[in-house]
Amino acid sequence: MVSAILAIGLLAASFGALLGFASVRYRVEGDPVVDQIDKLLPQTQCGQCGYPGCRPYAEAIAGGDVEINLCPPGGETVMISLADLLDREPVALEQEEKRPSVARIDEQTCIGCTLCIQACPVDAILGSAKQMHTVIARECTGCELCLPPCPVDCIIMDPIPTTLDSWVWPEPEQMERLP
Amino acid sequence: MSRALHTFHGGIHPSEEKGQTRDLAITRFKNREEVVVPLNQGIRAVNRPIVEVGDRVSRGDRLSECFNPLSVPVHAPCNGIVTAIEERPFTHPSGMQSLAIVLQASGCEPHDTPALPIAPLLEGLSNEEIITKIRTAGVIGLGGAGFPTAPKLRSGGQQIETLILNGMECEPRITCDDRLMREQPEQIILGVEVLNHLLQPKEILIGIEDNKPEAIEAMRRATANANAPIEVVTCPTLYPSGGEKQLIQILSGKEVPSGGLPYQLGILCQNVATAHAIYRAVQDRPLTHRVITISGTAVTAPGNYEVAIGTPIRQLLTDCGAAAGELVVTVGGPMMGFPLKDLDSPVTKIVNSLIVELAPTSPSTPVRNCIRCASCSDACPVRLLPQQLFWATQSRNYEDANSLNLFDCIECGCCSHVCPSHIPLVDYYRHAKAVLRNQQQEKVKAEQARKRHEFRDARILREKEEKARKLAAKRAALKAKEAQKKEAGATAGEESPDKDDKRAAIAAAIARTKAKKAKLQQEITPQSTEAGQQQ
Repeated sequence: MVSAILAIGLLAASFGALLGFASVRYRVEGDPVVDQIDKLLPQTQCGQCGYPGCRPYAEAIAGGDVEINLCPPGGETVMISLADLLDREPVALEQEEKRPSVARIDEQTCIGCTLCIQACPVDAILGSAKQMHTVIARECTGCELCLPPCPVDCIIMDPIPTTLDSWVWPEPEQMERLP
Repeated sequence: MSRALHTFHGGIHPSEEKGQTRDLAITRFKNREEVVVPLNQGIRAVNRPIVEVGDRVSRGDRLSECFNPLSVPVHAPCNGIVTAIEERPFTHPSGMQSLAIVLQASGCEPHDTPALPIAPLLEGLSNEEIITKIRTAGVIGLGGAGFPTAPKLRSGGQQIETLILNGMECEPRITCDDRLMREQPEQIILGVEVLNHLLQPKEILIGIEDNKPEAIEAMRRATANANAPIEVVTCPTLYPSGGEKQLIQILSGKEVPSGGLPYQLGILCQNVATAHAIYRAVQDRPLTHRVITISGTAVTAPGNYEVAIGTPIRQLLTDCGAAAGELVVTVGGPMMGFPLKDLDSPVTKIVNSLIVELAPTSPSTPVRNCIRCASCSDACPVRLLPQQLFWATQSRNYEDANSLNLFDCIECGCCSHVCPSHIPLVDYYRHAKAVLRNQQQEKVKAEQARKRHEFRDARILREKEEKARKLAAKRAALKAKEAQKKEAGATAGEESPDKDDKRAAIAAAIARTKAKKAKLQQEITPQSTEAGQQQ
């Protein structure tokens, strides 16, 4: 009787100690779900979802009370991968999917006011006061956040053209499926 | 001869159809009009033209420079004048255009390639110098994939035990390597000797399918007095035994791991035509011409032609007596080739065959549903599960396709060929691969954007903190000074250096104005009070 209680007690104590140790030793900093969601988002930082960037939106999704269909640059692909990750039902996109584009500054019109530089979420615009600015196309995410602040409307969004490298072999026509 | 051969999984025996061209000797194609040399030749070539419109170039002149280690320059195949540098139709399944250098051609005959000993050519050259020579001659793999030869020869610094020469030419209808082996075996072997000099392998195997007995014979004769441990190996005819990984498996029994490269096994594989080009390269003759097979029912003069790289395909077809009417031209073999969109596209370094047929009048065989017969799995030389891949790619579940090792697919077309329902399986895989590749690119870009965004946030925060710190420091300094002054004033009164002099001066000025004001006030006040009283 005593030995049984002792044995169970000892077991309980040792497992308790083990769990206690693990919770301290393998503590997870931050919310891994937010990181996972953030990894899926396109990182344009455009704010079209209504949140000030991709990470805030990821945090909101992780919070659970936001739909997963608010990201126009990500489109259906991102929505479906989010649905997969979070085990939620896919939902139709809120806004139309956007073709990827890149900003270009018309250097003739630019007055060098630096407002767009301050608006760019990824520091992809180069220039200084009263010097015309230019977009580093490779870094531009096409978020369009530089458009509203520009006082002379000299920023144009160019759709990214398909190249030989990015061309996609056409998908065969879907065969008719038997009813 | 007595070598024990191995087998790979699957494979098929499509009808060979090489009879139309296999006995036709290589003829030189004479260019008459313009030659369009695309700057884009192999994979991801980043090339910049070094000639300008109006320049006179002679055959063999370099036309472009390149900075990417995976790209090679292009050369003028003939004497002529640069008439334009512009976007021209490109020999690519997309039918898109690519920057090309247009030459008005005159004199397009290639240099002859006499078989000379290579020892004097290589004397005093280091391996790196020879490889650079091969690169500047614009040599890329001529078997079809077009991988640049120079980086392949560096083989990641690994010692190559076995050098394999690929003379299999397993795809139906193509006979250009067969003809080259029959007509210029000495030159190919000299190229092999250059490779032997560079790589010092233990053995050199030349794999040739047994449906090319004349080529085997010619190569055997040429190797007899060669300066290297070369063995010509006859392999059974089975498509796709000419695939690099399949040939390695046949000859060595070793399987190149998924995502790996042959050099990791100490093996290097080169096409016989590439060896020929390497021999020319060490003679400082750039790759400006190649042999291609033109076949099909819609040409009256099919054959094997040595053509200038950049020859518009329309010119070739006219000279081969292509039928009037709508033509369907397949670039490459019937198994792996793609339909050409624009006949004005030029011959590039990787074009080995053109199949010219009249456009079919009857609709093609309808695609039926998959009946799960598993013929595709039996035929797949890479042991993939084509049927599973099909379900995944058809439902656009590309991630699943990726985990089914989609990227190990060599697009040989065996599965589509055996499919009783005529499902274009390879087209699904090609589409899925391109989508996945683009998604991968996007992921890389997103990661980069995330980092930059985080950096910017951190920067803004840092700037704010710095500002706040500076302000605080300023305030503290001011406070300290005031306190000091108070203290100083309390202890030592007005005695001070020049700063306090200034302050004293200011104080005096203030006192003066105050006195003045008071005086004024005194003068005014009585009047105003008087006025007030009067009211």
